[in-house]
Amino acid sequence: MTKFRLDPTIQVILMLGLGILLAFAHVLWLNITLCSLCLLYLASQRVAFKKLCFILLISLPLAFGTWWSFIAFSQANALANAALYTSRLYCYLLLGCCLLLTTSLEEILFSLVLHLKLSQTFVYGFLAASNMVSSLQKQLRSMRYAALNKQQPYHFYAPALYLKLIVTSLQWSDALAQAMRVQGFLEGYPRTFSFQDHLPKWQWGLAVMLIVLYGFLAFLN
Amino acid sequence: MVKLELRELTFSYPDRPPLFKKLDFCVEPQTCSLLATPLGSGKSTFFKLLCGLYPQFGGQITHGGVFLENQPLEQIVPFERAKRIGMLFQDPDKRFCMATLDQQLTFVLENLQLPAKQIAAKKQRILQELELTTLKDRQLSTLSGGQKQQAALACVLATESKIILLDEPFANVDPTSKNKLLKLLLKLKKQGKTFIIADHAPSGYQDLLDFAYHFNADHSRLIKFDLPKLTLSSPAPLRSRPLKPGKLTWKQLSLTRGKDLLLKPHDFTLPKGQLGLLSGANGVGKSTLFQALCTLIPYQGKLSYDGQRPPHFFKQRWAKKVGLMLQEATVQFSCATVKEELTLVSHNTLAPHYWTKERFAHAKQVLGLDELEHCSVYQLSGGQQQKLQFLSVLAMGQPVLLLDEPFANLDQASIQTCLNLLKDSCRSEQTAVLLTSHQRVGITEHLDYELVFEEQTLKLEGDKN
Repeated sequence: MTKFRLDPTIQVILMLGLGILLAFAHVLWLNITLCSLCLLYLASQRVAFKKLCFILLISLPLAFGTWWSFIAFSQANALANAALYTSRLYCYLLLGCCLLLTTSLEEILFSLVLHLKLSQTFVYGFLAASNMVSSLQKQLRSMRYAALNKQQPYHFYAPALYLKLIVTSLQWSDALAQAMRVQGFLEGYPRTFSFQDHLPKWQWGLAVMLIVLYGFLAFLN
Repeated sequence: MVKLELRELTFSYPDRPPLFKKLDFCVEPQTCSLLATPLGSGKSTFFKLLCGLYPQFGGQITHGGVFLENQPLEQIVPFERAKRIGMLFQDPDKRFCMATLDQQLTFVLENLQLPAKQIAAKKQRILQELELTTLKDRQLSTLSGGQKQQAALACVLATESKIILLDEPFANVDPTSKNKLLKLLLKLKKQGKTFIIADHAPSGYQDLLDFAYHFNADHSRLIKFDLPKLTLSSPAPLRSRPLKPGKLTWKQLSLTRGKDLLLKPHDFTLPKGQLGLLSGANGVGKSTLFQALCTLIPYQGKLSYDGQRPPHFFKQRWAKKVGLMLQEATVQFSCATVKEELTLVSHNTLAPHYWTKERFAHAKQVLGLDELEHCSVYQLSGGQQQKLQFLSVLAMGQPVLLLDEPFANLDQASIQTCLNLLKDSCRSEQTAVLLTSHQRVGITEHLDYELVFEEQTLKLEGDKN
């Protein structure tokens, strides 16, 4: 039996649609329901339990900060406000997890190109940047050690460090753009798109229905 | 056959005199030629003009132009250009937009508007031809320099370019990978492809070449000359000397890269006052070893300097003992201009009794850096950057120096100058020096020992145990 999975494009639409409504909704039980549904979806996708726990753990200080700020500074209904905004934080977190922990970045971006006509130039640039993150981290360690060798350490708050990173990034982007040009890529020109992703129509209907239902329950109830 | 030519091309960078003046050149089809000119003479610029990257990515053409099949090159769309002209860059590191070779080949073939159904079969054929099937799903960022060049060549082959420009293709490639690349180039030449190779220190591929070019004094002509006039040298043998004691010691040092074991537990003490060569095939882990010795990456085992272990945090103390010269020069610089960089080094040197003002000034002068003092470090050519990097690392005066490919972009004259400075410093200050270099000509006769990194271990060359 094939595993059910929401198409990446539908997940992005849900994330954006529900995310916007979340910002204005003040219904605690709806937030808790949304969090539960997200956790159920993640479980159905067999997401690594340890990874999810780690993400929830590192967000705990932020959730506590949100909670405490409302408890300490709310004029009225401190507990209700604290619960609402903390649950909202977890809604956003879990909506993002549903997308990013179940689908690769390439698949998300290519699906958006196919179904929502996202610019291919943007996608390839974004992928190149994300693929260079580990190289940039390695570069950062080397830069800091080279500076230490000269007895001039780069602290994390030193503007010179970020200037070097920006200069490095500009050089890398220029080098990459040249290589992409030599390999025949030019923005706006037709090219084959071999990525295949069948998006059933019912998933569009499901996305619209969930967003409308959430809106109804949040604002018209 | 593809006709690519320069007609009275005059090209210059902003606010600089013309680099090429009314240059005429026609690529001879189905030949393999060498552009044998010194470093910093404009080889990369010449290639970028030939494949249409300039002036779009820099500089301006003030007269004449580049013509492909008698049409101005800038009027031809990139995917049509790519089918005729391909280029292998000197630095393959930042030339891939996708994570794996398989994805990158798909990207290239999609650019050429190849029907989706044909892409998989073509990719398989290219990977089999280049024997890169095992690398296709590996992260490109984890490949060695030689493997990245092979991956880049796969992308050039995917475009089926008739003319292939190779800019210093063997700069960071070990002999085994180089031989593999050369065999492939020979095979492609027999298939009718045209190559122009830019290499300031060609060696080992005379059979592949038909003739060579070099620029005249004012860069208005490319002069063709026959290969017998091209002098190629063989490296002198390295005469191992008994090792002296040292202070940087590793015991049961072991390295891994992901799940791969690079180095089995190994013991060694880096000898003081001697120059050592760390050699081995590309991808074996030489740079990784250097990173570990500077505590930039995790390692197993014990590392110590004069009995003291390196700190986990606040590496200033260790950085005073172990200096590192990286492969990429621009990462090494702390300042924007040459003058600022050298001033910083001369003020902060850990060996001010040796690196006096006079000695520093002499070193600047012999390396040709005093003429470049007001230039930005990013505007220098590859060779100039490397010389600046070399001096700034050497003059800091750490008692241990790890130099990763310090001569990759230098011509023989510059290599000898650098080696003389290094030897003087090493003997006088009893510095322990370990360097890597794929290029051995003009270098090995100056070294005292060789550590060969192979089969997951380090062996002292000449050591029968």
